[in-house]
Amino acid sequence: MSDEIAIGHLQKRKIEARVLIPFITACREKFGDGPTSEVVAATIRAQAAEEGAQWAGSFGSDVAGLRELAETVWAGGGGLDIQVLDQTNDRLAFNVTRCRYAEFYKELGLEDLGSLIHCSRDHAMVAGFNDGLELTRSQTIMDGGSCCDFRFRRKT
Amino acid sequence: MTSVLDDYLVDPKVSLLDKTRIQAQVLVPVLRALRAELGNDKADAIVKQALRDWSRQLFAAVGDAIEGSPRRKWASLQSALGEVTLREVEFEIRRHDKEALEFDVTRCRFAEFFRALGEPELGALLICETDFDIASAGDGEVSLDRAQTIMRGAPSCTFRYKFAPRP
Repeated sequence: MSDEIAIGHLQKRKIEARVLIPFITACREKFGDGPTSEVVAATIRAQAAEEGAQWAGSFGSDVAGLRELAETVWAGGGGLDIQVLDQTNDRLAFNVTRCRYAEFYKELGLEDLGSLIHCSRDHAMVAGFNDGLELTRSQTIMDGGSCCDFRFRRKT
Repeated sequence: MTSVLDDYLVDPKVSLLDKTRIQAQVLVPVLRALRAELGNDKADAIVKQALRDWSRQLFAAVGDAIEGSPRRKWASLQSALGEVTLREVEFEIRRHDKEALEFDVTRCRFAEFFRALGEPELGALLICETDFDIASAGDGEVSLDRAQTIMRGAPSCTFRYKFAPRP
């Protein structure tokens, strides 16, 4: 199931969300936020890690590759407005100042699911992309922040 | 071009087959993890209920937004669905008059995809059941009977629509 379909990242995530949202909502209604919902979240994270490894193959697994990934794939098709603050061989810092992914979930009134399905993928993605890098992020637009502060750096 | 099915299709530039493949790629691993956790029956029951409720609500809302009689709502939905599905199927019309529309689908790329994936029931939920949700928009004026589908292993899908006499 690795066939790549030519489509923008934002549209792909919206299409996936159309079926994931009712599915995860049903799981939560039935089981709450317990172990079953965690199985679902863990599976989504595992997929994100796989995707990270594929992206590393396409863009290179270094900081420059990460920046290209963010600017062309994540932000592609107007998905994100990104402001790069700092880039060296060991770190990349950028703020997302507008996020159409968050807008999509907010229009549905489902920001909490957006955090679970969408934002939480990023940490797992980095592990698959390059296990020597780590991401810290103190706030996201999905969770009500004014921006998402992505700070990637090489692990010490 | 806008279609009455925009909410369903998300992006009209993506074919329905590709859209469904994208959804299966993300849903199948989650479903399989849930089966491992809960057992097949329980996990499949959850996905069935979730996807059926979602599809019913979605098409009911789309149908409500179309003006006219139930028959007209159905015709409008059916035609929009045809635009995105006919390229993926081969079919033979058996009967088409004011009382009935009967046709057999003899090849279906949706079924081929989901059967190759080993998940025909998921395919039935994501694709085949849609026809009944659309028939529901015909509220009393259109009914669908379909004894068999390729998705579930039959050689053809036997679509049999009946139309109530016009007043």
